[in-house]
Amino acid sequence: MSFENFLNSIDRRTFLRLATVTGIGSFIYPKNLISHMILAPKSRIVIVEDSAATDGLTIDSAAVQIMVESGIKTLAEWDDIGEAWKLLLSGVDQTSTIAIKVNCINSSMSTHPPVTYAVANSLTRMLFDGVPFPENNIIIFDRTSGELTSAGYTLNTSETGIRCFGTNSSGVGYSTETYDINGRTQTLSKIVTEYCDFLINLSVLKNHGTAGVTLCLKNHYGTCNSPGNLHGDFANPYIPSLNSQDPIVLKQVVNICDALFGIYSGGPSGSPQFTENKIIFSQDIVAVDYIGRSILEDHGCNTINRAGHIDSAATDYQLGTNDPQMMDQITVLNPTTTIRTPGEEDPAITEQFILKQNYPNPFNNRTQIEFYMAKSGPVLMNIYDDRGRQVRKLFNKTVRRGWHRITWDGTNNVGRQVASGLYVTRLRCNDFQKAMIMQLIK
Amino acid sequence: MVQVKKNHAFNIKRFLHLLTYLIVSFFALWIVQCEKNATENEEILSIEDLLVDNNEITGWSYDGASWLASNISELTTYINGAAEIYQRHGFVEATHQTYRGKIDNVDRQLKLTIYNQGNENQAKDTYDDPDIGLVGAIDWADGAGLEAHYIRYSGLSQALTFYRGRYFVHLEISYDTEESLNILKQFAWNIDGKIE
Repeated sequence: MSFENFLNSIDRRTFLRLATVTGIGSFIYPKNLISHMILAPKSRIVIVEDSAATDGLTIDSAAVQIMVESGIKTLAEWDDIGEAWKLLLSGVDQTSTIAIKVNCINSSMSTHPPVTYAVANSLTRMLFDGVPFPENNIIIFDRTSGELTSAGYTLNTSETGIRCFGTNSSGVGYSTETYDINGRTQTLSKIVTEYCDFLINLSVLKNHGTAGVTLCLKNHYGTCNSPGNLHGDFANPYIPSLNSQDPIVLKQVVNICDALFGIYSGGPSGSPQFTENKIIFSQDIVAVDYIGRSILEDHGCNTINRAGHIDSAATDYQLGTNDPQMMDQITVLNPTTTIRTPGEEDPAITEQFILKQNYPNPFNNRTQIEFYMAKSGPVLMNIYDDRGRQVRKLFNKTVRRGWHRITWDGTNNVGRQVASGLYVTRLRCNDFQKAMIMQLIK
Repeated sequence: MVQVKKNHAFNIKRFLHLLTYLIVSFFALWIVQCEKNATENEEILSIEDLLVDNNEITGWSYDGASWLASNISELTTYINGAAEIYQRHGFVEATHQTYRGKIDNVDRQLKLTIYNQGNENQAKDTYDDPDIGLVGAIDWADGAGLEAHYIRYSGLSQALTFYRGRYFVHLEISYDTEESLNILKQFAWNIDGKIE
């Protein structure tokens, strides 16, 4: 069997697992089928935190929109939100249907509608031949329409606008095919099995008396028909088993945890108990839950030790990593104060060209560099070591007016990590040139 | 004369017998009636009757319909995995109602859930279960129920629980001020009065 035949003989899921383990996938598999993020040796986790997101229990939708777009762009390492989504939703086109699974079982602490609609709105920024992705191809869903309504969502089953309905909605229901969830037979929402091509898991930060925590992995209890009989043995391994079913594992491409607020005690019932002002993004569902569990633990959650399903999902089901050494964790702080929406001019800015100090600085393995352009134009950004030798050609393309963010991962032009020391970023644009010193510490 | 005295004594004796009979009958009837009333009260007082009525506490009206869960499966439908906490302490039935009212000129939501846990011991076990989420709560001395406590989540929300008899009562509100705590206490007093 040739290598090509071998590739053709295995399914995508098996390939992903192989590729994750061996790291060879990025060289041999067609790039348009698998995002390079999936094949990265470490799981990328983006935590966007912004104090402007909430005021008491009030959520600032505009701030959340910026947070979501910042998170997705950082996750995809692409500065255009539409293109970033295209990278994450590999193979998406204007006919695709994207479902967003929210968690509304507790109307006092559901996935907050401003977060969900920010995700949905950003999906419509994907352009196909200049035409935005159709709103009507986006479905926000949960188990029942009643739960969605109670949580503040507006139901929509019409042929215009973003759709929103429960699996119990007329004509929807559950699959005829059954799934073996560690010995318990379940059917799955047709929204997952039949309606959608891509699945976004949008959970909320809560503890859980039985399963320890209820984050992205447990969110799919609202996708199956009879979750009540999947709670024995701390819901383990029912939760990872459910998440390993083909319709979920093959379609689910992005996992997001709405951590604006949290419940650390008495969950999944109850009202918000603390403000976290974070949204967590990753393609690795286990890594998102690992981070979420850590946040709850920091708040003194007393059910953490029951959340073994996260570890089982990693070790027994290979759904992701629970090893922090295998996570590439990036924190984006207060994007509402540093990032403007495209085309929006900051009235305080009178300069043609701004280069901000990188953040963090000093940095260990990754840093972000932001710059502002008063008008569109070509930008060239290179990095030099302290002896003036070019280390990395970081950026060379034409950009729009506004703020832009570039990430440097501390590698040189051949992909090798550079040594600790001082480095200079030089940015050129038309007749302007600016430089900035950064410090790398290993 | 002697005969008259004898008849008089006889009449007094009969009168005393009759009086005793009447008193015993009266008490017997009274006891039967009391038992009957007690039975009727139990029949009338369903768990849903314990809910606070619409606007019974001024300014707090129903927000949506109530629900009643008569078994653990139904409870799971309403509160998902949290049902297990109540199941392990003898869950019998539960009812819930959400209310809406204004505090500081903004709409706030208050949620009331009443659980019948079968008996007082099981209601207390439920109250003491750390999974209910009131670890570190403040005791509400001389409050509602046999024991009551509440917890405040700074600026965000409050929860209050108490138990009396076979009932465990859980209240929560999406706000945290002295006024919102006072509203929770009013609800608690109201329900406790109905249980008594």
